[in-house]
Amino acid sequence: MSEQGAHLSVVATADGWTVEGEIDAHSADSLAKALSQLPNVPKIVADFAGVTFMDSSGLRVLVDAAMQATDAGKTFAIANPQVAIRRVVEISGLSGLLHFID
Amino acid sequence: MSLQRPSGERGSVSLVSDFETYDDGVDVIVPLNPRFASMLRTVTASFGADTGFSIDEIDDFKLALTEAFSMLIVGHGGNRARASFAVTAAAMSVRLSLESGDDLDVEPDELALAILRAVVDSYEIGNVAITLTKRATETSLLGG
Repeated sequence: MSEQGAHLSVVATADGWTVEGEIDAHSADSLAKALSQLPNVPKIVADFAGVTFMDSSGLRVLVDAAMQATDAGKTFAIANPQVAIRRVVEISGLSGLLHFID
Repeated sequence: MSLQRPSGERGSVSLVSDFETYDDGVDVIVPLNPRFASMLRTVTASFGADTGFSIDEIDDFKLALTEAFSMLIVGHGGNRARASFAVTAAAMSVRLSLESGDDLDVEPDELALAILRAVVDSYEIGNVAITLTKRATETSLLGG
């Protein structure tokens, strides 16, 4: 299953999703729709290697997904984030909720 | 340079660059619709690169402008915004307002404000405009 917006692509993988493009108010709904269905694995991974931009609307989607995963007894991690993505999470004070793996 | 479509055309975009009139600035007029945020980021990237800002500084400014643009959309979606970019030797700024010049109805949330505080040197959410200013570091001005 995949979601595709004007400048965002979300493709489901065995343990999560591969996300590419820019996440803003225009594309966040597509991301939210894709991430609303958590995969049935204990460790969920969103591969962000191809994400070049994310604003607060994207952060809200990721926080919702992480909290949903926690409620389901799963972990949620963002893999391979670019510097700009890592920075927006850190400056927003959400590092405690959104974990990175490289 | 001037690219102008009829102002009443739905979804139309106006880009005006007149170095004499705008004192080395650029005005971009876009519909207050989320899909036009990426266009403002593109202008920011081009403008910042031309003025010697580092990639990280330009990324910060793109993020701030996107947050400010989203604030305007919440209260004024369907209207048109004017983004006035200006640059000096040491700073880049943008003034985001309604094309009509009407007062703003903006209620930013804490997450957006936290981002603004972190990525620009100053911001002001005024009655008629949101203004963002980012100063270049000495390193970027030296091309390092």
